Amino acid sequence: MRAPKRAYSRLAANADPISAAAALRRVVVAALLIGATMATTATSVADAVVVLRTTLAWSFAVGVQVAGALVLVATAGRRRTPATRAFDLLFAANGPWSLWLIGFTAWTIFTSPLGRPLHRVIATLAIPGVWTAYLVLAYCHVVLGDTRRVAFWKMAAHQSAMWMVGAGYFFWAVQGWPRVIAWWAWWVPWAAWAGTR
Amino acid sequence: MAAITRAGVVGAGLAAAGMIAATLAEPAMRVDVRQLGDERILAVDLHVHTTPGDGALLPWDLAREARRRGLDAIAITAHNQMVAIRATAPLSTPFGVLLIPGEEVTMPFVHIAAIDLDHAVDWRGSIASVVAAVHAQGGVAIAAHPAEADRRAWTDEAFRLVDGVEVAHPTMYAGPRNRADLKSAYAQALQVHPTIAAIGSSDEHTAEPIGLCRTYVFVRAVTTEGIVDAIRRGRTVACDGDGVATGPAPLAAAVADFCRADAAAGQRTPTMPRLATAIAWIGLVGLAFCGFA
Repeated sequence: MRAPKRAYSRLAANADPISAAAALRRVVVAALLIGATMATTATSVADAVVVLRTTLAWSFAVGVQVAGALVLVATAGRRRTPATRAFDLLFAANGPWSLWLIGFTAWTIFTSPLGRPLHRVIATLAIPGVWTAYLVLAYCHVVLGDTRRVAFWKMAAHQSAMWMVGAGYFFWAVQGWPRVIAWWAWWVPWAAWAGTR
Repeated sequence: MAAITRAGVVGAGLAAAGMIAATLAEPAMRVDVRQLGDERILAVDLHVHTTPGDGALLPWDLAREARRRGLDAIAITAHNQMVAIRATAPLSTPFGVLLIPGEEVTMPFVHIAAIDLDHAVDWRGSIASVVAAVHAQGGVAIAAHPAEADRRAWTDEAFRLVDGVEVAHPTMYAGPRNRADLKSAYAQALQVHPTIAAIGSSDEHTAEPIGLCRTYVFVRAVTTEGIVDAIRRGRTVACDGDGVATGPAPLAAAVADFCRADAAAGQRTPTMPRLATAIAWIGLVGLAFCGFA
Protein backbone atom coordinates (compact mmCIF):
# COMPACT_ATOMS: atom_id res chain seq x y z
CA MET A 1 0.00 0.00 0.00
CA ARG A 2 2.98 2.34 0.54
CA ALA A 3 4.86 1.58 -2.72
CA PRO A 4 2.06 0.56 -5.10
CA LYS A 5 4.06 0.73 -8.35
CA ARG A 6 6.69 -1.67 -7.07
CA ALA A 7 4.05 -3.96 -5.56
CA TYR A 8 1.93 -3.98 -8.71
CA SER A 9 5.01 -4.61 -10.91
CA ARG A 10 5.81 -7.66 -8.82
CA LEU A 11 2.22 -8.93 -8.78
CA ALA A 12 1.61 -8.31 -12.49
CA ALA A 13 4.82 -10.11 -13.46
CA ASN A 14 2.99 -13.40 -13.12
CA ALA A 15 1.17 -13.81 -16.43
CA ASP A 16 -0.66 -17.04 -15.61
CA PRO A 17 -4.45 -16.61 -15.81
CA ILE A 18 -6.56 -17.41 -12.76
CA SER A 19 -10.07 -18.79 -12.62
CA ALA A 20 -13.08 -16.48 -12.25
CA ALA A 21 -13.75 -17.98 -8.81
CA ALA A 22 -10.21 -17.19 -7.67
CA ALA A 23 -10.60 -13.64 -8.99
CA LEU A 24 -13.61 -13.17 -6.73
CA ARG A 25 -11.85 -14.04 -3.45
CA ARG A 26 -10.79 -10.50 -2.61
CA VAL A 27 -14.28 -9.32 -3.62
CA VAL A 28 -15.84 -11.72 -1.12
CA VAL A 29 -13.46 -10.57 1.63
CA ALA A 30 -14.28 -6.92 0.85
CA ALA A 31 -18.01 -7.68 1.13
CA LEU A 32 -17.48 -9.63 4.35
CA LEU A 33 -15.53 -6.74 5.89
CA ILE A 34 -18.36 -4.32 5.12
CA GLY A 35 -20.97 -6.70 6.54
CA ALA A 36 -18.90 -7.44 9.66
CA THR A 37 -18.31 -3.73 10.22
CA MET A 38 -22.00 -2.86 9.94
CA ALA A 39 -23.06 -5.75 12.17
CA THR A 40 -20.39 -5.20 14.82
CA THR A 41 -20.76 -1.43 15.07
CA ALA A 42 -24.54 -1.74 15.42
CA THR A 43 -24.61 -4.63 17.90
CA SER A 44 -21.08 -4.76 19.45
CA VAL A 45 -20.99 -8.46 18.54
CA ALA A 46 -19.90 -10.29 15.36
CA ASP A 47 -22.82 -12.73 15.37
CA ALA A 48 -22.39 -15.09 12.39
CA VAL A 49 -26.02 -14.92 11.24
CA VAL A 50 -26.23 -11.14 11.48
CA VAL A 51 -22.83 -10.71 9.77
CA LEU A 52 -23.83 -12.95 6.85
CA ARG A 53 -27.22 -11.31 6.37
CA THR A 54 -25.73 -7.82 6.65
CA THR A 55 -23.00 -8.80 4.17
CA LEU A 56 -25.68 -9.81 1.67
CA ALA A 57 -27.71 -6.65 2.35
CA TRP A 58 -24.70 -4.41 1.68
CA SER A 59 -23.25 -6.48 -1.18
CA PHE A 60 -24.59 -3.90 -3.63
CA ALA A 61 -21.68 -1.67 -2.50
CA VAL A 62 -19.18 -4.29 -3.67
CA GLY A 63 -21.30 -4.93 -6.77
CA VAL A 64 -20.71 -1.31 -7.80
CA GLN A 65 -16.96 -1.82 -7.34
CA VAL A 66 -17.10 -4.98 -9.45
CA ALA A 67 -18.84 -3.05 -12.25
CA GLY A 68 -16.18 -0.33 -12.01
CA ALA A 69 -13.39 -2.93 -12.13
CA LEU A 70 -14.87 -4.63 -15.20
CA VAL A 71 -15.01 -1.31 -17.05
CA LEU A 72 -11.42 -0.46 -16.11
CA VAL A 73 -10.09 -3.85 -17.19
CA ALA A 74 -12.10 -3.79 -20.44
CA THR A 75 -10.68 -0.40 -21.40
CA ALA A 76 -7.04 -1.25 -20.64
CA GLY A 77 -4.51 0.25 -23.02
CA ARG A 78 -1.66 -2.25 -23.29
CA ARG A 79 -2.58 -4.85 -20.72
CA ARG A 80 -0.32 -7.91 -20.62
CA THR A 81 -1.85 -9.31 -17.45
CA PRO A 82 -4.76 -11.73 -18.04
CA ALA A 83 -8.18 -10.15 -17.48
CA THR A 84 -9.12 -12.21 -14.42
CA ARG A 85 -5.79 -11.48 -12.77
CA ALA A 86 -6.08 -7.76 -13.60
CA PHE A 87 -9.58 -7.75 -12.09
CA ASP A 88 -8.27 -9.42 -8.93
CA LEU A 89 -5.37 -6.96 -8.63
CA LEU A 90 -7.68 -3.94 -8.55
CA PHE A 91 -9.25 -5.33 -5.38
CA ALA A 92 -5.78 -5.54 -3.86
CA ALA A 93 -6.12 -1.73 -3.69
CA ASN A 94 -8.90 -2.09 -1.11
CA GLY A 95 -6.37 -1.96 1.75
CA PRO A 96 -7.02 1.66 2.81
CA TRP A 97 -10.79 1.09 2.98
CA SER A 98 -10.27 -2.17 4.87
CA LEU A 99 -8.07 -0.31 7.36
CA TRP A 100 -10.73 2.39 7.78
CA LEU A 101 -13.47 -0.19 8.39
CA ILE A 102 -11.30 -1.99 10.95
CA GLY A 103 -10.44 1.30 12.68
CA PHE A 104 -14.08 2.41 12.73
CA THR A 105 -15.17 -0.90 14.23
CA ALA A 106 -12.41 -0.82 16.86
CA TRP A 107 -13.41 2.76 17.76
CA THR A 108 -17.02 1.74 18.39
CA ILE A 109 -15.98 -1.32 20.40
CA PHE A 110 -13.52 0.52 22.65
CA THR A 111 -15.44 3.75 23.27
CA SER A 112 -18.58 4.52 25.23
CA PRO A 113 -21.75 4.76 23.15
CA LEU A 114 -22.56 8.04 24.91
CA GLY A 115 -21.45 10.97 22.75
CA ARG A 116 -19.60 9.37 19.88
CA PRO A 117 -18.75 12.22 17.43
CA LEU A 118 -19.87 10.39 14.28
CA HIS A 119 -19.83 13.54 12.15
CA ARG A 120 -16.13 14.02 12.79
CA VAL A 121 -15.46 10.38 11.93
CA ILE A 122 -17.12 10.89 8.54
CA ALA A 123 -14.42 13.49 7.76
CA THR A 124 -11.78 10.76 8.05
CA LEU A 125 -13.25 9.08 4.95
CA ALA A 126 -11.01 11.47 2.99
CA ILE A 127 -7.90 9.49 4.05
CA PRO A 128 -8.81 6.12 2.42
CA GLY A 129 -10.36 8.11 -0.44
CA VAL A 130 -7.10 9.85 -1.37
CA TRP A 131 -4.97 6.80 -0.61
CA THR A 132 -7.10 4.54 -2.81
CA ALA A 133 -6.92 7.04 -5.68
CA TYR A 134 -3.11 6.85 -5.43
CA LEU A 135 -3.23 3.03 -5.57
CA VAL A 136 -5.68 2.97 -8.50
CA LEU A 137 -3.42 5.39 -10.40
CA ALA A 138 -0.51 2.96 -9.99
CA TYR A 139 -2.80 0.07 -10.99
CA CYS A 140 -3.88 1.77 -14.22
CA HIS A 141 -0.30 2.61 -15.14
CA VAL A 142 1.40 -0.66 -14.19
CA VAL A 143 -1.24 -3.39 -14.56
CA LEU A 144 -3.39 -1.93 -17.36
CA GLY A 145 -0.38 -0.55 -19.23
CA ASP A 146 -1.84 2.93 -19.69
CA THR A 147 0.35 5.99 -20.10
CA ARG A 148 0.68 8.26 -17.04
CA ARG A 149 -1.75 10.77 -18.52
CA VAL A 150 -4.39 8.19 -19.50
CA ALA A 151 -3.91 6.40 -16.18
CA PHE A 152 -4.58 9.66 -14.33
CA TRP A 153 -7.82 10.35 -16.21
CA LYS A 154 -8.99 6.75 -15.87
CA MET A 155 -8.33 6.86 -12.15
CA ALA A 156 -10.18 10.17 -11.89
CA ALA A 157 -13.18 8.83 -13.82
CA HIS A 158 -13.24 5.56 -11.87
CA GLN A 159 -12.97 7.22 -8.47
CA SER A 160 -15.50 9.91 -9.41
CA ALA A 161 -17.98 7.25 -10.50
CA MET A 162 -17.49 5.27 -7.27
CA TRP A 163 -17.91 8.38 -5.11
CA MET A 164 -20.93 9.55 -7.08
CA VAL A 165 -22.72 6.22 -6.66
CA GLY A 166 -21.87 6.18 -2.94
CA ALA A 167 -22.88 9.80 -2.45
CA GLY A 168 -26.06 9.20 -4.48
CA TYR A 169 -27.13 6.37 -2.19
CA PHE A 170 -26.26 8.43 0.88
CA PHE A 171 -28.18 11.43 -0.50
CA TRP A 172 -31.28 9.25 -1.00
CA ALA A 173 -30.90 7.49 2.36
CA VAL A 174 -30.57 10.64 4.46
CA GLN A 175 -32.89 12.62 2.16
CA GLY A 176 -30.47 15.29 1.06
CA TRP A 177 -32.94 17.64 -0.61
CA PRO A 178 -34.60 19.03 2.53
CA ARG A 179 -31.14 19.50 4.07
CA VAL A 180 -29.87 21.30 0.96
CA ILE A 181 -32.90 23.59 1.13
CA ALA A 182 -32.14 24.29 4.79
CA TRP A 183 -28.51 25.18 4.03
CA TRP A 184 -29.58 27.21 1.01
CA ALA A 185 -32.10 29.14 3.08
CA TRP A 186 -29.49 29.72 5.76
CA TRP A 187 -27.23 31.39 3.18
CA VAL A 188 -30.01 33.03 1.16
CA PRO A 189 -32.77 34.20 3.52
CA TRP A 190 -35.21 34.98 0.72
CA ALA A 191 -35.34 31.25 -0.16
CA ALA A 192 -37.04 30.59 3.17
CA TRP A 193 -39.29 33.61 2.68
CA ALA A 194 -40.21 32.33 -0.78
CA GLY A 195 -41.94 29.36 0.76
CA THR A 196 -39.40 26.65 1.46
CA ARG A 197 -40.14 26.67 5.17
CA MET B 1 -1.81 -14.95 -7.13
CA ALA B 2 -5.19 -14.90 -5.42
CA ALA B 3 -4.26 -18.33 -4.01
CA ILE B 4 -5.02 -18.26 -0.33
CA THR B 5 -1.94 -18.24 1.91
CA ARG B 6 -1.39 -20.15 5.13
CA ALA B 7 -2.06 -16.89 7.03
CA GLY B 8 -5.26 -16.53 5.05
CA VAL B 9 -6.43 -20.02 6.01
CA VAL B 10 -5.69 -19.29 9.67
CA GLY B 11 -7.47 -15.91 9.36
CA ALA B 12 -10.54 -17.46 7.74
CA GLY B 13 -10.61 -20.15 10.43
CA LEU B 14 -10.33 -17.61 13.24
CA ALA B 15 -13.01 -15.39 11.68
CA ALA B 16 -15.43 -18.30 11.30
CA ALA B 17 -14.70 -19.70 14.78
CA GLY B 18 -14.99 -16.26 16.38
CA MET B 19 -18.32 -15.51 14.70
CA ILE B 20 -19.78 -18.91 15.58
CA ALA B 21 -18.56 -18.54 19.18
CA ALA B 22 -20.02 -15.01 19.35
CA THR B 23 -23.36 -16.39 18.15
CA LEU B 24 -23.36 -19.20 20.69
CA ALA B 25 -22.14 -17.00 23.56
CA GLU B 26 -24.81 -14.35 23.11
CA PRO B 27 -26.95 -13.94 26.22
CA ALA B 28 -30.53 -15.19 26.08
CA MET B 29 -33.07 -12.80 24.65
CA ARG B 30 -34.63 -10.71 27.42
CA VAL B 31 -38.39 -10.76 27.93
CA ASP B 32 -39.31 -8.61 30.93
CA VAL B 33 -42.99 -8.49 31.87
CA ARG B 34 -43.60 -5.26 33.76
CA GLN B 35 -46.94 -4.09 35.05
CA LEU B 36 -48.45 -1.02 36.73
CA GLY B 37 -52.02 -1.68 37.82
CA ASP B 38 -53.90 -2.91 34.77
CA GLU B 39 -51.40 -1.37 32.37
CA ARG B 40 -48.44 -3.26 30.86
CA ILE B 41 -45.18 -1.29 30.75
CA LEU B 42 -43.44 -1.80 27.41
CA ALA B 43 -39.93 -0.67 26.58
CA VAL B 44 -39.93 0.76 23.06
CA ASP B 45 -37.63 2.64 20.71
CA LEU B 46 -39.73 4.76 18.37
CA HIS B 47 -37.00 6.17 16.12
CA VAL B 48 -34.60 3.74 14.41
CA HIS B 49 -33.11 3.41 10.94
CA THR B 50 -32.44 0.28 8.88
CA THR B 51 -31.19 -0.94 5.52
CA PRO B 52 -32.36 -0.02 2.90
CA GLY B 53 -31.85 3.51 4.18
CA ASP B 54 -29.12 4.99 6.33
CA GLY B 55 -29.20 2.29 9.00
CA ALA B 56 -26.67 -0.55 9.19
CA LEU B 57 -28.94 -3.54 9.76
CA LEU B 58 -31.96 -5.14 8.12
CA PRO B 59 -35.22 -4.68 10.07
CA TRP B 60 -35.35 -8.27 11.37
CA ASP B 61 -31.72 -8.11 12.58
CA LEU B 62 -32.54 -4.86 14.33
CA ALA B 63 -35.56 -6.57 15.90
CA ARG B 64 -33.30 -9.37 17.12
CA GLU B 65 -30.92 -6.80 18.64
CA ALA B 66 -33.89 -4.97 20.15
CA ARG B 67 -35.02 -8.14 21.90
CA ARG B 68 -31.45 -8.74 23.14
CA ARG B 69 -31.57 -5.26 24.70
CA GLY B 70 -34.95 -5.82 26.32
CA LEU B 71 -37.15 -3.82 23.93
CA ASP B 72 -40.72 -4.91 23.18
CA ALA B 73 -41.35 -2.74 20.11
CA ILE B 74 -39.44 -0.56 17.65
CA ALA B 75 -40.65 1.89 15.02
CA ILE B 76 -38.72 1.81 11.73
CA THR B 77 -38.50 5.46 10.74
CA ALA B 78 -36.53 5.90 7.52
CA HIS B 79 -36.11 9.39 6.10
CA ASN B 80 -39.15 10.18 3.91
CA GLN B 81 -39.65 6.58 2.75
CA MET B 82 -40.97 3.26 4.02
CA VAL B 83 -39.16 0.78 1.76
CA ALA B 84 -37.61 -1.33 4.54
CA ILE B 85 -40.71 -1.64 6.69
CA ARG B 86 -42.83 -2.55 3.67
CA ALA B 87 -40.40 -5.36 2.80
CA THR B 88 -40.63 -6.64 6.38
CA ALA B 89 -44.41 -6.40 6.80
CA PRO B 90 -45.03 -10.18 6.66
CA LEU B 91 -42.70 -10.54 9.66
CA SER B 92 -44.29 -7.87 11.81
CA THR B 93 -43.22 -9.44 15.13
CA PRO B 94 -39.80 -11.05 14.52
CA PHE B 95 -38.28 -12.37 17.78
CA GLY B 96 -41.45 -11.23 19.55
CA VAL B 97 -40.64 -7.58 18.87
CA LEU B 98 -43.45 -5.48 17.49
CA LEU B 99 -42.27 -3.69 14.32
CA ILE B 100 -44.19 -0.45 13.89
CA PRO B 101 -44.26 1.20 10.46
CA GLY B 102 -43.12 4.79 10.63
CA GLU B 103 -41.18 7.52 8.90
CA GLU B 104 -38.83 10.27 9.96
CA VAL B 105 -40.42 13.09 8.04
CA THR B 106 -37.29 15.02 7.11
CA MET B 107 -38.19 18.62 6.41
CA PRO B 108 -35.76 21.47 5.76
CA PHE B 109 -35.80 22.85 9.31
CA VAL B 110 -37.30 20.13 11.41
CA HIS B 111 -37.71 16.37 11.67
CA ILE B 112 -40.86 14.60 12.84
CA ALA B 113 -40.96 10.92 13.84
CA ALA B 114 -44.30 9.70 12.49
CA ILE B 115 -45.46 6.43 14.04
CA ASP B 116 -48.02 3.90 12.78
CA LEU B 117 -48.39 4.92 9.15
CA ASP B 118 -49.89 3.17 6.13
CA HIS B 119 -47.93 5.18 3.60
CA ALA B 120 -45.18 7.79 3.59
CA VAL B 121 -46.07 11.40 4.38
CA ASP B 122 -44.89 14.13 2.01
CA TRP B 123 -42.13 16.24 3.58
CA ARG B 124 -42.98 19.31 1.51
CA GLY B 125 -45.21 21.33 3.78
CA SER B 126 -45.47 22.95 7.17
CA ILE B 127 -45.33 21.23 10.54
CA ALA B 128 -49.12 21.63 10.72
CA SER B 129 -49.73 19.94 7.36
CA VAL B 130 -47.35 17.06 8.12
CA VAL B 131 -48.89 16.43 11.55
CA ALA B 132 -52.39 16.58 10.02
CA ALA B 133 -51.35 14.00 7.41
CA VAL B 134 -49.97 11.72 10.14
CA HIS B 135 -53.13 12.05 12.24
CA ALA B 136 -55.29 11.39 9.17
CA GLN B 137 -53.65 7.95 8.93
CA GLY B 138 -54.31 7.28 12.63
CA GLY B 139 -50.68 7.76 13.61
CA VAL B 140 -48.88 9.96 16.09
CA ALA B 141 -46.30 12.68 15.43
CA ILE B 142 -43.25 13.19 17.64
CA ALA B 143 -40.89 16.17 17.60
CA ALA B 144 -37.57 14.48 16.72
CA HIS B 145 -34.36 15.70 18.41
CA PRO B 146 -35.50 19.33 18.90
CA ALA B 147 -31.95 20.58 19.46
CA GLU B 148 -29.42 22.86 17.73
CA ALA B 149 -30.79 24.36 14.50
CA ASP B 150 -34.05 22.37 14.75
CA ARG B 151 -34.84 23.89 18.16
CA ARG B 152 -35.90 27.27 16.73
CA ALA B 153 -38.66 25.72 14.59
CA TRP B 154 -40.39 24.26 17.64
CA THR B 155 -42.69 27.08 18.64
CA ASP B 156 -45.60 26.91 21.08
CA GLU B 157 -47.95 26.42 18.15
CA ALA B 158 -45.89 23.49 16.82
CA PHE B 159 -45.78 21.79 20.23
CA ARG B 160 -49.58 22.10 20.53
CA LEU B 161 -49.91 20.02 17.34
CA VAL B 162 -47.58 17.08 18.01
CA ASP B 163 -48.26 14.14 20.31
CA GLY B 164 -44.79 13.68 21.76
CA VAL B 165 -41.35 15.20 22.06
CA GLU B 166 -37.97 13.46 22.17
CA VAL B 167 -36.52 14.53 25.47
CA ALA B 168 -33.95 11.71 25.54
CA HIS B 169 -31.89 11.29 22.36
CA PRO B 170 -28.17 10.56 21.76
CA THR B 171 -27.66 14.16 20.63
CA MET B 172 -27.77 15.09 24.34
CA TYR B 173 -24.29 13.53 24.67
CA ALA B 174 -22.87 15.69 21.90
CA GLY B 175 -22.62 18.67 24.25
CA PRO B 176 -24.29 20.55 27.10
CA ARG B 177 -26.12 22.87 24.71
CA ASN B 178 -27.94 19.98 23.04
CA ARG B 179 -28.92 18.56 26.43
CA ALA B 180 -30.24 21.97 27.46
CA ASP B 181 -32.14 22.27 24.16
CA LEU B 182 -33.96 18.96 24.70
CA LYS B 183 -34.77 19.89 28.28
CA SER B 184 -36.07 23.33 27.35
CA ALA B 185 -38.10 21.87 24.47
CA TYR B 186 -39.88 19.48 26.82
CA ALA B 187 -40.49 22.24 29.38
CA GLN B 188 -41.90 24.51 26.67
CA ALA B 189 -44.04 21.70 25.26
CA LEU B 190 -45.48 20.89 28.70
CA GLN B 191 -46.51 24.53 29.15
CA VAL B 192 -48.70 24.50 26.05
CA HIS B 193 -49.57 20.80 25.82
CA PRO B 194 -49.64 19.30 29.35
CA THR B 195 -50.31 15.72 28.20
CA ILE B 196 -47.56 15.66 25.56
CA ALA B 197 -45.69 12.35 25.67
CA ALA B 198 -42.09 12.28 26.86
CA ILE B 199 -40.19 10.16 24.36
CA GLY B 200 -36.71 8.61 24.50
CA SER B 201 -35.27 7.28 21.24
CA SER B 202 -31.88 6.02 20.07
CA ASP B 203 -32.16 7.25 16.45
CA GLU B 204 -30.15 4.09 15.72
CA HIS B 205 -28.12 4.23 12.51
CA THR B 206 -24.93 2.34 13.18
CA ALA B 207 -22.93 3.29 16.27
CA GLU B 208 -25.77 4.37 18.57
CA PRO B 209 -26.96 1.13 20.20
CA ILE B 210 -30.67 0.56 19.81
CA GLY B 211 -32.49 1.34 23.06
CA LEU B 212 -29.63 3.55 24.32
CA CYS B 213 -32.41 6.05 24.96
CA ARG B 214 -35.84 4.42 25.20
CA THR B 215 -39.45 5.04 26.08
CA TYR B 216 -41.59 3.19 28.58
CA VAL B 217 -45.19 3.18 27.43
CA PHE B 218 -48.06 2.24 29.74
CA VAL B 219 -50.40 0.31 27.47
CA ARG B 220 -53.82 -1.26 27.85
CA ALA B 221 -53.12 -3.63 24.92
CA VAL B 222 -49.78 -4.97 23.65
CA THR B 223 -50.37 -3.86 20.09
CA THR B 224 -49.34 -0.98 17.86
CA GLU B 225 -52.72 0.61 18.57
CA GLY B 226 -52.11 0.20 22.31
CA ILE B 227 -48.75 2.00 22.03
CA VAL B 228 -50.21 4.79 19.89
CA ASP B 229 -53.07 5.18 22.38
CA ALA B 230 -50.61 5.44 25.30
CA ILE B 231 -48.66 8.15 23.48
CA ARG B 232 -51.85 10.11 22.80
CA ARG B 233 -52.77 9.90 26.50
CA GLY B 234 -49.25 10.97 27.54
CA ARG B 235 -48.72 7.67 29.40
CA THR B 236 -44.99 7.51 28.62
CA VAL B 237 -41.63 8.05 30.29
CA ALA B 238 -38.39 8.81 28.46
CA CYS B 239 -35.25 7.06 29.71
CA ASP B 240 -31.79 8.30 28.72
CA GLY B 241 -28.41 6.56 28.59
CA ASP B 242 -27.53 7.76 32.09
CA GLY B 243 -30.61 6.04 33.53
CA VAL B 244 -32.56 9.26 34.13
CA ALA B 245 -36.34 8.91 33.69
CA THR B 246 -38.31 11.95 32.45
CA GLY B 247 -42.08 12.20 32.31
CA PRO B 248 -45.12 12.54 34.56
CA ALA B 249 -43.83 12.13 38.13
CA PRO B 250 -45.87 9.04 39.19
CA LEU B 251 -44.99 7.20 35.99
CA ALA B 252 -41.31 8.21 36.14
CA ALA B 253 -41.13 6.95 39.73
CA ALA B 254 -42.68 3.63 38.66
CA VAL B 255 -39.97 2.95 36.06
CA ALA B 256 -36.98 4.66 37.70
CA ASP B 257 -35.36 1.35 38.65
CA PHE B 258 -36.01 -0.22 35.23
CA CYS B 259 -34.53 2.83 33.57
CA ARG B 260 -31.33 2.69 35.64
CA ALA B 261 -30.94 -1.06 35.08
CA ASP B 262 -31.66 -0.90 31.33
CA ALA B 263 -29.26 2.02 30.85
CA ALA B 264 -26.46 0.18 32.65
CA ALA B 265 -27.13 -3.04 30.72
CA GLY B 266 -27.20 -1.21 27.40
CA GLN B 267 -23.63 -0.02 27.76
CA ARG B 268 -21.88 -3.30 28.40
CA THR B 269 -21.48 -6.40 26.31
CA PRO B 270 -20.76 -9.65 28.20
CA THR B 271 -17.13 -10.84 28.17
CA MET B 272 -17.54 -14.02 26.10
CA PRO B 273 -19.24 -12.49 23.05
CA ARG B 274 -16.73 -9.62 23.21
CA LEU B 275 -13.80 -12.03 23.26
CA ALA B 276 -15.29 -14.08 20.43
CA THR B 277 -15.87 -10.90 18.41
CA ALA B 278 -12.24 -9.84 18.96
CA ILE B 279 -11.05 -13.26 17.69
CA ALA B 280 -13.32 -12.98 14.64
CA TRP B 281 -11.89 -9.56 13.83
CA ILE B 282 -8.27 -10.71 14.25
CA GLY B 283 -9.12 -13.43 11.72
CA LEU B 284 -10.73 -10.95 9.33
CA VAL B 285 -7.70 -8.66 9.51
CA GLY B 286 -5.41 -11.61 8.77
CA LEU B 287 -7.59 -12.65 5.84
CA ALA B 288 -7.80 -9.14 4.40
CA PHE B 289 -4.11 -8.23 4.66
CA CYS B 290 -2.22 -11.54 4.53
CA GLY B 291 -4.79 -13.80 2.93
CA PHE B 292 -3.72 -13.85 -0.69
CA ALA B 293 -0.37 -14.36 -2.39
